[in-house]
Amino acid sequence: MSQVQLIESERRNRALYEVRNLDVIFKRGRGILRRKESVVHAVDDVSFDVYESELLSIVGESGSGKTTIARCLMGLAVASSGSIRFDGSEVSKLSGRKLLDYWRRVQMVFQDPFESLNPRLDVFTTLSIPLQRLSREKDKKKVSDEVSRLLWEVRLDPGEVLHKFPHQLSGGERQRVNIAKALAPNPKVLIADEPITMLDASQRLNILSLLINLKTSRNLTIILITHDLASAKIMSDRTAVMYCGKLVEIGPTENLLTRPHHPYSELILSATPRLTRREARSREMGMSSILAGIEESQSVETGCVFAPRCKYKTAICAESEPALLAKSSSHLAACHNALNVDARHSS
Amino acid sequence: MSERDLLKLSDVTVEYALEHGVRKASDGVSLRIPSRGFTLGIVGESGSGKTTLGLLMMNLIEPPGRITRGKIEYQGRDILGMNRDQLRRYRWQEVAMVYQSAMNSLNPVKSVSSHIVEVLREHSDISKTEAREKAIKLLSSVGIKEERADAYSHELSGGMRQRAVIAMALALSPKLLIADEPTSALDVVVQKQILALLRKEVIEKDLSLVFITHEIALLGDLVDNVAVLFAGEIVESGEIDDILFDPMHPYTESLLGSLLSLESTREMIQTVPALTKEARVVPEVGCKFANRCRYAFARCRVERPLLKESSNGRLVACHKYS
Repeated sequence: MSQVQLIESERRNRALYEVRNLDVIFKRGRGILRRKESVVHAVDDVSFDVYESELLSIVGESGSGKTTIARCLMGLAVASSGSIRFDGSEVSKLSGRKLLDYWRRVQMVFQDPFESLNPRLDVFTTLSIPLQRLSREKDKKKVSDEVSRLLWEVRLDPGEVLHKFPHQLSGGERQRVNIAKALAPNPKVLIADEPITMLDASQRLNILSLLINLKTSRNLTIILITHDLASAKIMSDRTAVMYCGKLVEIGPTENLLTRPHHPYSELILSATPRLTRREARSREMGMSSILAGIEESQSVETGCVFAPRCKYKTAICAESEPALLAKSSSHLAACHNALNVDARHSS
Repeated sequence: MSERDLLKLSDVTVEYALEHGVRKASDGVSLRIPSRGFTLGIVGESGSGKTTLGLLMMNLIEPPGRITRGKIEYQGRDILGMNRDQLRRYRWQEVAMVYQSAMNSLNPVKSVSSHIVEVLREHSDISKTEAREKAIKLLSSVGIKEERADAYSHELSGGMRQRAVIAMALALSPKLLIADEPTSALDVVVQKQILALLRKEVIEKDLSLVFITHEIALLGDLVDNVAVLFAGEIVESGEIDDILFDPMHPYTESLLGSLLSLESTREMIQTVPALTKEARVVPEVGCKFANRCRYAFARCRVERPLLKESSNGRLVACHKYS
């Protein structure tokens, strides 16, 4: 898709979510009496939009704040400041009936398919509860038909799994049941938090392909939280990269993965395992540089959060924090020395 | 004596007695680590017996597990017949293992350096000061600075804990290191650092390495040889490039076909068929992979293929090649 087409499609699709200056601070007591408090800035001044019918990936290492953002979007975590507007209304202000309505429209699939199903409920009960609660369906026959339809939709055979309990299902089947459960209230938005991380390789691709098909067939907006650039690449229209609670880069997935603007994106891209032939491998080279930069993410008082690990840093990086700015059309990065930008404009 | 393999498993079977019957976690496995500096990746899905294979090499199979057949020799010595003292010397000094999620099993009330001091003093006759100096050296070789040597495990990141565990395993300069999924809970950048660190040890110390993983894509940068495990059996083994780019066994092929990488496309992932219930059943007779194999023919249903040399000199357990 060319840049022009892309901007066109963005114009067509309105912003479903508008996240502005989102801050989430966790307080942690220290010492036996917890008198000393330390704060963890899990999400730090993050702003982005989610467009209707797009698939947005949020990528980052553990602790980067991606799950916290997902929980805020769901209304499961409370922002310290900032705003999240869904379809014009502020998510944190929703309560009672309005919150239930919201959850009818936005559903979440969690990382661990083993933990997120009640072990004492069979598949039928697991799926009929949200149907009855959220779509207020009373007719038993209709509920049972709908359960079967949902199972077929996630490519499970109701005849086989309907009366099974979670422990009788494989990891992939469990995750399918979780997806069916999320689809039960007929949502507009699906937030999938690392949906394939706990699965065997043979089942991962099937779950991803299921999500892609559901997006088309149900016209879903999907927010995929992942640590894996490969899933972001095949799944998403746009990708957002988080680092230490900051949104450091966001843009069309293809651009971001072929020509990342932020040095952190470049780093995770280069660290993602690839199949390479022996002659193309650089096993002995570059090891010392990898080990030299071995100290991991650390907090900084001023300047860019990534500066301590950045090989492109200059004097300004320690002094002022870079803002998230458009470096090329619809591609934003928070970096004083954004990569590839000049090359792009001249080409 | 140079003829002797460093480590050799011959036809080893391990059975676990479960509530309903017996399960073979390792089924007639033979493999060789011929010499120092030899690096082997063992790849397979969960439940394929990868960890059992690692534990076997340490002679650490415990009830309900039982070795029912086979022999394991280290430089010609039978390790299954070793007494306690011999085993104590064998483990850590000859062969060391980084266990799965070992980074989460550090003692929370001990500093990382004192873990290593303990290993050193337990196995060799050195003073506390000497042991501490050596521990600090070991930690710095894995990128943990002296000022962090006395940190407790909760003060370190996952990657640092994993590196500390590797330093501990290397404390007594073993000839062979077995690493069981050492990077599975880590971020890609940290993962790459751990792989680079292991590679450095292999090159600098002529260390032999057995790297156990479910992610075949990790192996390219690290090992020279691969053994592919399915349902407790090695179905194919050989040089890394052969396995990655010219797989022979249908299971290796499917493993590579379901690999999610930056080269994958939407079209590719949508053509991977989902495993049916029937396909997931491992047959009692014939080839264990037959139910999932798109090449399976009559012979595969009745006769189990053995791992043997095919016409091109590679090892594969498949009737397609005989």
